[in-house]
Amino acid sequence: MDVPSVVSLLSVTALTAHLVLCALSLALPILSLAAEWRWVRTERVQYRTLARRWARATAVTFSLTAASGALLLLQLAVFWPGGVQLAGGVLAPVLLLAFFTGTMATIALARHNHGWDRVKPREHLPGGVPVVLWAVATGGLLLVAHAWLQRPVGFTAADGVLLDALPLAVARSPLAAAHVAHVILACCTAVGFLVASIYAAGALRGRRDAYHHAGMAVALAVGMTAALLQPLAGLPALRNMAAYQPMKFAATQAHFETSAAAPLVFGGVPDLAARRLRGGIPVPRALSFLVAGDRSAVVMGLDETATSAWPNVLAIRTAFQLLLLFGTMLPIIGMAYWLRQWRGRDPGPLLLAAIMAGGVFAVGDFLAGATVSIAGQYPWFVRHVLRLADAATQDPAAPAVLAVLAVVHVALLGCLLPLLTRSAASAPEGAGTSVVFR
Amino acid sequence: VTIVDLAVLAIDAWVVLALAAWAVAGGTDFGLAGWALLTRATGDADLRESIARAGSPLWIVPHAWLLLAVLLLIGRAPSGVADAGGILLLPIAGLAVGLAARVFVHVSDGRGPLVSPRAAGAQVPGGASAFAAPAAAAPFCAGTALGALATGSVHGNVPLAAGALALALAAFMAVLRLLHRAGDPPSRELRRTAWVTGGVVIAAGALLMVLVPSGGPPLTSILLPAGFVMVAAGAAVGVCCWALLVRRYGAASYAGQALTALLVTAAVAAQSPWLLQGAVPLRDGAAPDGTILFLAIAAPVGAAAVLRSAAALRREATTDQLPPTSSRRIGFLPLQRH
Repeated sequence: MDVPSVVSLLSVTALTAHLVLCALSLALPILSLAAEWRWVRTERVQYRTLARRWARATAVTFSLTAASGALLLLQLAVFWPGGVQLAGGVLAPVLLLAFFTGTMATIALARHNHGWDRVKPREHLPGGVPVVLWAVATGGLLLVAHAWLQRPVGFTAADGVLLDALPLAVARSPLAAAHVAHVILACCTAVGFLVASIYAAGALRGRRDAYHHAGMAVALAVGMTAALLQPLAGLPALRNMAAYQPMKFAATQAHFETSAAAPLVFGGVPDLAARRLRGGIPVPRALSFLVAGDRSAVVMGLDETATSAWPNVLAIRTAFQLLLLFGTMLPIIGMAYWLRQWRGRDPGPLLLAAIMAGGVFAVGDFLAGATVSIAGQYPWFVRHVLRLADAATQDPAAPAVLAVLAVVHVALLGCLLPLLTRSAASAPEGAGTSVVFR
Repeated sequence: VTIVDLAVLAIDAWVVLALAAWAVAGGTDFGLAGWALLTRATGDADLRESIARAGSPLWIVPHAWLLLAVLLLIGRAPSGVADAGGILLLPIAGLAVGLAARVFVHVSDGRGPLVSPRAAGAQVPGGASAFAAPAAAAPFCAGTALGALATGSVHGNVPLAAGALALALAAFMAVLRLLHRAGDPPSRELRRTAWVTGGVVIAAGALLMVLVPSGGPPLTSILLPAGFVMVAAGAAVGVCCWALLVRRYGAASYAGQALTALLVTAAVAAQSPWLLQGAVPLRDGAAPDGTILFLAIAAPVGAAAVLRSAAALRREATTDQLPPTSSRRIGFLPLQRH
């Protein structure tokens, strides 16, 4: 393996850890706000406890995400000279805005947390709104930058050097709007179900109290809402992928030959040598309809480019199938929970186990989506403009140094998860604890 | 002179400001990590508690300045950063690990970011000190990076001496803040530590001045462009010594911070017009005009919004009470006393 390949691989590890932190930073404020809203509405103390604990978890998550982002920025400057040279002048404005919005989110959260017990609940609740807005704005800006890397527009470059660019050229990427909506909803779905699974695990251990029930209910409400809204953003994102990244789209469907009236195939194993998909359940003409709204539309296949230019079909196809599988399972689990609630019955052990498994599905769903995105971008740093091999450093010392930094990224994520589970599992807060910022 | 030239000047000024601010705020934060590590060994619980309380409740506040500087530099001269970044592999990696370690300290300390100081007498977990080691070494990495940019190479004595000076300055600012925050007459040991650390700063500075002519650019190229700044830095040393002598620790702390900011400003001024001395001019590979203009406008607007919110947070956190009027705002909406 050459140096740029190792640098790419290690950077993916760091990036994935950062993505998970970003997802938590984006969704936890929404969970906290939802719990606080329920507290104001019902005046039940369990919602207040949840809101405060989730706000505290958000604070820690923000810090770890900021640290992880800082590391990534320094890594970008040092390990990706070609990438900085070409994309730095385009991405810097949007990254600067994301930096400011992220800092504003942190400060807004600190001020919101400071207000606990100092102001009336109804007056305190709206203070959580700017936290959510700033956090979503930060995530949105970073996703806009990510969309630009997949479909770069608004610039001219020669020999890997940026010659000219429109101000905020990144916002002009046709992928941006659908990508932002799709990923933000995916983050809310994943984190909602992940958090619900933590409380389901507590309930399975015998802690079937109002606190655990409320934790599950609020987290599932957020996760379910996002999951049900997802098709609205997912379909445009899928169509964008088919239109602007046809090879990546063909890889997700293991669609080897360009054809009209293409079927949508669930499951199956891609046979790269034979250039066909073995097995699977086909739905005739469904892929053409999905892509263009026309059952006879032509869908571009992998045969349009040389095999050497293909992305990793096996990895992308598998990840996409897992994405669909988990993405279908999660709403079913959520629906089962709400159906049980509607009938006025508490969730039984089987349903609790399913909700707990939903946490694993949620993480799997998110990571599968990240895999499709990252593997689909290979071998480009900026699609069709700059290859990863040209963007990365050639310094032979880089892999060893970057390996250390990748471990640090994973450790940043690793120290958060026990904190979240410990916070959920501990007894509801008692009297006499400090309320400043807590 | 075009508007783009003015925008470039404005961005350069922001980069210098951000670097100087980070050297002060981030340096003190790292310095506190270093003292936490040392007091762990001596077992001085009171001092450990003082150190924990002297740190920023928000991890991002001291170090946000670094991110701002790096972002502006990437936007202002992407090709220059790409060329210069290659030689900074090790110091930047060390700095990155130090930054992450500082976050681990915040989390493992049991306080976490954005949370109140721990109850008096609460024990500091061992993990905090373990993570403090790379955080304490971070100023050395930052100084080495600056030295490498000044000499064109990370190898040689000048980057090492610059790292040593940065480490000493961080420790000095941290101990001055501890003296300032001590309240009652601080312990004799702490005062002695401040004097010793100040001596180390002067020794490291002198060593750097001796080494620069052999390993770096001519001394005159540093002293001449940055002459006024160096004179001001000398004045800051004098004020710091006087304030320590007459036990005006607040003044000493501010003078120490001013000294650090001035030294960073002098180093950056001496660096001009190079990003990497003798190899990468700052003007080479500048960003497109649109990007430059956007950054020049966005940086002050964004910074003003952040500083305004941060000032409000600081006021609320330090006074620990709401004002009698409903003018206090959290986020967008007014708050009323409960």
